[in-house]
Amino acid sequence: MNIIELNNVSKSFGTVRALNDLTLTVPEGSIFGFLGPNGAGKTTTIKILLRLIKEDSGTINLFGEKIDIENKIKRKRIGFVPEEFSLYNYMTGWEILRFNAGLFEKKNLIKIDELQDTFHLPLREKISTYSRGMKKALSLYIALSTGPELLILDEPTDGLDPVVRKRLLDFLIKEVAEKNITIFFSSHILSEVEKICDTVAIIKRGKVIIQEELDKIKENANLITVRLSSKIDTGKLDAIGITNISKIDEFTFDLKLFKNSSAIVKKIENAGGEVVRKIPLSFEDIFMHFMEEKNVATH
Amino acid sequence: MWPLIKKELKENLTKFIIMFLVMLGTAFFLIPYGYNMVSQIPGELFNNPAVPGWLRNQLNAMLPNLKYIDFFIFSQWFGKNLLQFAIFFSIIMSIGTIAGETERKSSIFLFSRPVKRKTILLSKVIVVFSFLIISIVIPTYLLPVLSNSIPLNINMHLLNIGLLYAVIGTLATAAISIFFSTLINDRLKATFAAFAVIIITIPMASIKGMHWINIVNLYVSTKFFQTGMIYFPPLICGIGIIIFFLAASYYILKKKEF
Ligand SMILES: Nc1ncnc2c1ncn2[C@@H]1O[C@H](COP(=O)(O)OP(=O)(O)O)[C@@H](O)[C@H]1O
Ligand SMILES: [Mg+2]
Repeated sequence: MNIIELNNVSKSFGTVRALNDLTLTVPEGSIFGFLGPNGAGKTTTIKILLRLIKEDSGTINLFGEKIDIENKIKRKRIGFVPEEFSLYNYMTGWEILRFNAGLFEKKNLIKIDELQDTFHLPLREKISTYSRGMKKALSLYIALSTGPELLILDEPTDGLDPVVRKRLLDFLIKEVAEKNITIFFSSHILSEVEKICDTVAIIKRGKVIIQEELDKIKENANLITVRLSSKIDTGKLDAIGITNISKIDEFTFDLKLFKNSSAIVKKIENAGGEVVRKIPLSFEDIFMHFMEEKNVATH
Repeated sequence: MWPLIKKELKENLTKFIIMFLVMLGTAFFLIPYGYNMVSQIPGELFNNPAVPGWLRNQLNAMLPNLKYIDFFIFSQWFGKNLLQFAIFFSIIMSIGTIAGETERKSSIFLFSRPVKRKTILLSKVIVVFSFLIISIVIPTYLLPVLSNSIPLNINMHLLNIGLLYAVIGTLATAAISIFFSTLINDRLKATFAAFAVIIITIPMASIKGMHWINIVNLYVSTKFFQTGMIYFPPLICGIGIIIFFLAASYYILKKKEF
């Protein structure tokens, strides 16, 4: 089952088109990386899922059912760590956890001991005394304390020091390994998405330009070196759809492949070429490729 | 709903205590000191030739009325002290309801919880209204208790109905403020907007047939005081304002994006 399904969702703020026919599917039990540069529309997508804002058009399914206006019941099954979090400063850590549990109509707080072993928050102190990182961690406590089936994190590591960042990521990995929870993880940081996510969607200017299992994306992305039996004729290569080659000598060229690798390799072999070397591309190379305007049309 | 109400009680407690003490303090001084002073003013005081004639006449005409306790309470408590403080405090108490959450950005937390927006608004309204009512009702009923020390006979019918007008007026002001708190994300701007609306209604009320539009007129009914009969238009108008502005607040909140 898919936990989240967004179909052609659009949203504009005045003249700014924040989401532009965004389509996205998050499978159950995955750690789903929602990757994109600042301003791509990640927060907007998440706010729509939580009904903080409303889409202009498109359909949204959560837990296999169409979302309703307030979506009160389904929100009970979601834990949410917002990007920009302001909690009630006059409350203590314990107070906000209990307040939140009350709103979820839950009697017991779960996971707190486990989280405390990792983050050691001063839960008896007022939130006003917390550092930025501590507030982020508390946000995670709040999200997990009600036992969600879906955890939505909007750039959770943003502004955290490396130690806390690593703890947080490790905790999430452990969380998913232990039980069947789906994590929707938004980030603009490649390395952390690569580290923890199993499925990735890259969003650019309000549109998802690729969505796949991370392993498949990587498997498809290679730098190949091709030797032809005859001299390179760019016109002929263009004709079979092979562009952007970098020549090494008259018979050999390098080519970066991102999608449909095997189909392209087949074409090359049919044209009398031979792949003499194949190097996997880094995730950064892949991301940069999709970010470049000429490679992906978003409009 | 109970966790939300508890939170609102906690957040508004300080404001409530200040408001309650101010009202209580004013009520406490009103009869033993205020009334006592007025009742002891000898008539000749205003015959001083240094006072201009027209003022002398007015003061002399008013003094016997002021010495009459029901008139004193009606004009000084309902018409002045309570009115001023209630307008001021009802705006202060209400203006943070939604704007306070958006300003602190806690709105993202609050409105992403599995609670209906209606429930959130309702719990805020319940707490603000209760605090306002308590701060008006208890000090008002303190007046007859204090008057025993003098001893005076306060007309309880006048006091009860006078209080009814005051409560409706106060809640109407609060409802208008809650509306602006929902509409405008900034508490200061929302406060100005609410004050502006209330001030604008004062001159508008001088237009013929629009007397009832003046929010201040909702608080005190001269007609009722003159006749002792309940005069309904301000009550109906006040209740109408409360319902209209709360419904409008709910409508805006439902559409609001955070
Ligand atoms: N409330 C808003 N009003 C106007 N523009 C907005 C609002 N929220 C987001 N935007 C715009 O929508 C686009 C997407 O923003 P956002 O979803 O926050 O991106 P991300 O989270 O990926 O950085 C940006 O251009 C941003 O300026
Ligand atoms: Mg964002």
